[in-house]
Amino acid sequence: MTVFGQLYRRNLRQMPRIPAVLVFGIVMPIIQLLLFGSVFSNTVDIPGHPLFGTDTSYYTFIAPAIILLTAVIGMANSSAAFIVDLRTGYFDKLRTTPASPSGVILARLMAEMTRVFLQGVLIMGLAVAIGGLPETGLLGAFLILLAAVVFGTMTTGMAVMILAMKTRSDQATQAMFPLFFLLLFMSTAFMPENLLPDWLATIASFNPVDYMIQGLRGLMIDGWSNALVDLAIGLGLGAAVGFVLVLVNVRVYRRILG
Amino acid sequence: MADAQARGRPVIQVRDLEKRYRDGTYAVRGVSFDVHRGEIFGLLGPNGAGKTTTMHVLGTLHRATGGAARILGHDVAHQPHAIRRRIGFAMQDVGIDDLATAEEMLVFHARLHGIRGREARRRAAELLDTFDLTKHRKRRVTAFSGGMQRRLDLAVSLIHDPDVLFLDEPTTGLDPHSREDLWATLRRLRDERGLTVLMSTHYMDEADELCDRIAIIQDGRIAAIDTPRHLKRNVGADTIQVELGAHPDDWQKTVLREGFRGAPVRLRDGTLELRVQDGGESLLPALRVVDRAGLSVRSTRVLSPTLNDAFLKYTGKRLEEDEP
Ligand SMILES: Nc1ncnc2c1ncn2[C@@H]1O[C@H](COP(=O)(O)OP(=O)(O)OP(=O)(O)O)[C@@H](O)[C@H]1O
Ligand SMILES: [Mg+2]
Repeated sequence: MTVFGQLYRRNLRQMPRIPAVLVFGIVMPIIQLLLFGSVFSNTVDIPGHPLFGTDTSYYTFIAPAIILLTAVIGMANSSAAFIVDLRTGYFDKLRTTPASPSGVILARLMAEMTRVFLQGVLIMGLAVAIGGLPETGLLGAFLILLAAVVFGTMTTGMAVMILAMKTRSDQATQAMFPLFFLLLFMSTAFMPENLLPDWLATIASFNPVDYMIQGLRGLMIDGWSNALVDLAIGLGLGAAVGFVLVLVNVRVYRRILG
Repeated sequence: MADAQARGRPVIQVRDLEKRYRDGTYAVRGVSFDVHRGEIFGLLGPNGAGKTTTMHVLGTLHRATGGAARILGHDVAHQPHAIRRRIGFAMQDVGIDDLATAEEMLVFHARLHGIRGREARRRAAELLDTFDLTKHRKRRVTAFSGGMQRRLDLAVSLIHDPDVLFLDEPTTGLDPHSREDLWATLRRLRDERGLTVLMSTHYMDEADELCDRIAIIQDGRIAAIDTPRHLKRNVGADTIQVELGAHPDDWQKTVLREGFRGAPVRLRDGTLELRVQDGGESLLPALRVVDRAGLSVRSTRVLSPTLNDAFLKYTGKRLEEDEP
């Protein structure tokens, strides 16, 4: 196995040993799906709701948003173990070995992506159990999970790596959480566009998170055609953000190397 | 010089090395030295002298801002990967994986160096034994005491059988027994495999007993490089103290004076003090003179300059308080 593979494996092995990862990683997404699902489930009875008069479950409607939320928050949490390594001096220890620092960071991100993907599988499984398979089938389900994880990595995943290296503090990354929630609620995550107040609908149309949700939900409920366009826009915006963040990461990293 | 050539190219070559941190701190201001294969080379200096900075630059953790250095012939600035494959580095602050067990950490580091399966586990077991951690091998390292973590960190640094070992204050936090064990391990590896060690320390006895050569470093500069023996020798002569059984009378004083023939000698409170080049060699002749004068001897002491005295001479500071 390559050095990268070793690093990746080590990261996966340590995950079950972080209690917060277990609790938040498994319990939270399920609670979110069930909670948001039941709190807002009556909205499908509002005339004008896309699901009005259909037999599509509200859980099916909301699952892509919960998956995206889990990916975005989950990747924001991905700095936790990295910060532990920075604080204990283990990151520096690794720098004296053949493990290249960029490899260490990439292996970290890959492991966190794996974790978040598995969390997504959990939510998707539950949603399928309640409301049936997505319109686009298993391939669509896979694509929904993959796109959500990639989006989360390019945005919050990259952002928290910068904060982690600069501050070595969990607080800094946690301070970002309200921002994610804001972006999520200023979208069509829980309500279709036509039921949002006008001002919110306007904001949502500029919100990259909203394109992602439209795209993911399209795969879930409508089918391939329109969904892919929204998804491409969402991922494109995410990639643009990610590109800038990678540049900042490299810069911050060089500084640390002094 | 002929001796150095006989040993081939130095394993560590440092030339006019400089390191200025981004905040302007000028930590290393032109340091040059060579370390040869199988040598244990010590950096001795007060807090902030630049020991850690020097080692980090040589260990490819920081980039130098001036000068050059080679480890095993590889340039530290341009060939860090080649260097990292062949060095072990135990930093001043231990670097251990909080979420792993001792055994997992060792095996993992073996694998990072491309050592697989059974061989990785064999080496891990061997080092756990060497560092007296075998019965803790399945425990998470968070549960380890400071000294145990230090030992594990040292073991991890040795898992790939490196050619060069960097040890930044390796015995800080170790009990005397573990300290002796580490010294013995380092000597054994040096003798058996030609391991080269660059270490820093604050302990005079460690520098004195373990290191083949020492660089006294202060304010980012090297004040002296030599063997502990020579460093001490350069400070000055030995002193022989002979506590006499009785106060000498005038005749006995004459015998003593003639016996020591103008050597720097003085009598104080019934104790004879004699300055000589080599205390060990001169003790018996000195006692013969005392005997000839018909004086009895209550006790003798030979005082040699300590490394602490050498440190004082070169830096104007004491690193450790003298024992009373
Ligand atoms: N990352 C850094 N950024 C800025 N200055 C630093 C940094 N690391 C060390 N220094 C400064 O460089 C100088 C040398 O520090 P260094 O750690 O090399 O000393 P040292 O000899 O190892 O001391 P000690 O015995 O306390 O470990 C000090 O003045 C220190 O404040
Ligand atoms: Mg230091």
